[in-house]
Amino acid sequence: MTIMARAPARLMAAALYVSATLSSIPCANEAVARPIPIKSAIRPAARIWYPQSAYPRLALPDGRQEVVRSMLNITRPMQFGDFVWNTDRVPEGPVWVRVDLSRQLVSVFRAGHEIGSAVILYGTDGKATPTGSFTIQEKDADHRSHSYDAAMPYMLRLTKDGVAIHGSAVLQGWATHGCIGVPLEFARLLFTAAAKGDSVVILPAPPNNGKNKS
Amino acid sequence: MKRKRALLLAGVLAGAVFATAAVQDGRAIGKVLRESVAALKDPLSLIADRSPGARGSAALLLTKNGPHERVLSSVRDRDPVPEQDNPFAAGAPDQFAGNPLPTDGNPLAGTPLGGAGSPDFTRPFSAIPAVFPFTGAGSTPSSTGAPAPGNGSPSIPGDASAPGAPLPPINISSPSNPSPGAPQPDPPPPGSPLPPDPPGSPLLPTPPTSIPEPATWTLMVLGLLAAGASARRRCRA
Repeated sequence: MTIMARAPARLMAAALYVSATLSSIPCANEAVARPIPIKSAIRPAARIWYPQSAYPRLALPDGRQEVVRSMLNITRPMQFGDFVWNTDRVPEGPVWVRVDLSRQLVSVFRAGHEIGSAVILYGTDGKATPTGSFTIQEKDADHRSHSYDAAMPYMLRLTKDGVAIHGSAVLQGWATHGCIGVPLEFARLLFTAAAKGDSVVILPAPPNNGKNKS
Repeated sequence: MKRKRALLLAGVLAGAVFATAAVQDGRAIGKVLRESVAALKDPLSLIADRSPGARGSAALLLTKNGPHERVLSSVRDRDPVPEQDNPFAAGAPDQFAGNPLPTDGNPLAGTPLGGAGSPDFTRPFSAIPAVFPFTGAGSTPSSTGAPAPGNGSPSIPGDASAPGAPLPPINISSPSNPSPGAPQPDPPPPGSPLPPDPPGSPLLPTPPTSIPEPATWTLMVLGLLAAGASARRRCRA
């Protein structure tokens, strides 16, 4: 007891910290056996086919309308980090991307068929994501931002000032500085499917949603 | 022959019945088709059903603990964190309200105390007096850089537990490097006890510890041995 009382509290705390740290290090067998939790695509969804005589149309911000021939049938709300990608029985054709900030979703269409959808992150901190119609100006699978000193894998640049779609850690409560963050695997699939010059439309978020003070 | 005629007659009869039904129920069939098409949700409804919802105004505060600067200083295009948002300086303006600043021998005489709500971030670090920084654990220097009133020694302007009460004098600067111009408090007489810590004060430095005693080393070694034994037992299990 005397020894305990005389020992400096800091060194005792340091000894306990080192002990706790060392005991928490997994041994080799555990490191192999323990699975790494990675969010992946939810199971491939069935597709809703619209009859040829009644194709619905989606209005774009620039006044155009895009015909929708089929949609992915996702029957439950998606979580942050989820995505769906299904190109079965979808023919080749023009690709366009619809980003819905109010729904926090992105949808990828090819030849009028929706082939992918994911939950997104978008801008805040006074750096709101621009809305409107854009085209993919640049593709870079291994991009690194000079402004933010951050990796932006599978980047699809939309504007000259750096707004892009790229892979991110899509977690609830996170945001970007104006870019559109999508799950990394989804970003890779989108990067493969989209080409330079393809259309991207961004629909606005609710008022004051991307301009929080923080 | 009769059988063939019967089969032909049955086919003609079936065709006639089907044609009659088609003509009579044409509207009904079309209605069914239209209803089936209408049952298909439009794309916007499907997107709304799968959406995690709109981002709430407080959603960004779930993981953010206050404002963060995640931008390189070379490209920062917004003002630094305001003084009123800094929890360590929340009480600074009220604490110093009405207390005149000591000016005698103070290198920072005339430095504003954040009364205007904006700290002076443009002042280089070299302007901060050598006596100022606390090196104790958990110490946080005052953003205003001005000493507490009364005794001329550095204090904690943001300590909300004792607003307005001057803290006991603290000077942990090296004796070989005295700060020029800063008034030094008188050393306490030998044998006098240290002043008691005010409650909730995180900034009072503990006296520097010397080389750990053998009992301390023994305790650390025992801890390491216990950790190793625990890890080895886990690996065997």
